[in-house]
Amino acid sequence: MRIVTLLLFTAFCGCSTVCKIDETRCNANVAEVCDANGQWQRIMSCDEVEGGEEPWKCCAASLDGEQVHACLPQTQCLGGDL
Amino acid sequence: MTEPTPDQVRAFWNFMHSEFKTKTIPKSDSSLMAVVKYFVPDPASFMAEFTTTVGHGIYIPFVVGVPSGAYNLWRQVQLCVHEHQHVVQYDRDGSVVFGFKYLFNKAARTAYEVEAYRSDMELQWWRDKTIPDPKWMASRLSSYGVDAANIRTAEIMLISTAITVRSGGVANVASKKAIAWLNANAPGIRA
Repeated sequence: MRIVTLLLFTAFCGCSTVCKIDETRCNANVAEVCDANGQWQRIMSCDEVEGGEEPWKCCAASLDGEQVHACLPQTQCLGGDL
Repeated sequence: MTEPTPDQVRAFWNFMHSEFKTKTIPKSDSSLMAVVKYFVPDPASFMAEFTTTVGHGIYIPFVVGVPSGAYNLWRQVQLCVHEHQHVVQYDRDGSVVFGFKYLFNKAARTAYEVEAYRSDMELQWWRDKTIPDPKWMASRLSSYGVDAANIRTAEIMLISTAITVRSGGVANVASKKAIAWLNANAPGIRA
């Protein structure tokens, strides 16, 4: 019964919002977005990214005027939080 | 840049089936899909245009290696990886949690689909160093019953993803397996 309750809570999440919708952040080395329920949602863990020689780090970045957080090779990170 | 051959596409699907313990089922032959179609807004489109993955079964509306409609041979390769990323999610989160969240939580469904779309991006970048438009990709989620607020969140997630992919990053498990196979067996289809 507890499991069912937990699943229903998770599925129909009516929990209070903890973040501003569509805001992004780096949580340790994970890029996250605040989803439409006001909960932090993982975009991707930079530790899981492969390619190139450098380690991948979560940092502030932008594309077409949209400022977000994303995984980038260490030396491409802008060096500061948004 | 050349199209993959039918034999390459069939071999690729067979490789992915072997790696992820999956199988394809023609959608039109499936009794499960014959029931599911009554619960979707557009049954005809669901059966003819959409691929559906349930657990380790991939229900396809085309024949692997035979181009038809929107499913040209390259699209069949991309789609194979996309659907196998759903299998990765199913195995990672467990059947019950994955099923409940996908069906009943729009924000979670958005995140699952965005993660699978990441494979589309990763494969396209591997092939020709282009990135599908994140906003166009996000808009396709309206076909999955995702509302405008979640589509906007999907845009942001896909923009973040595009930044990583165009820097040469590959994150999805299914994409890593696929790209390794394609590099070894079909390097000529790259631009």
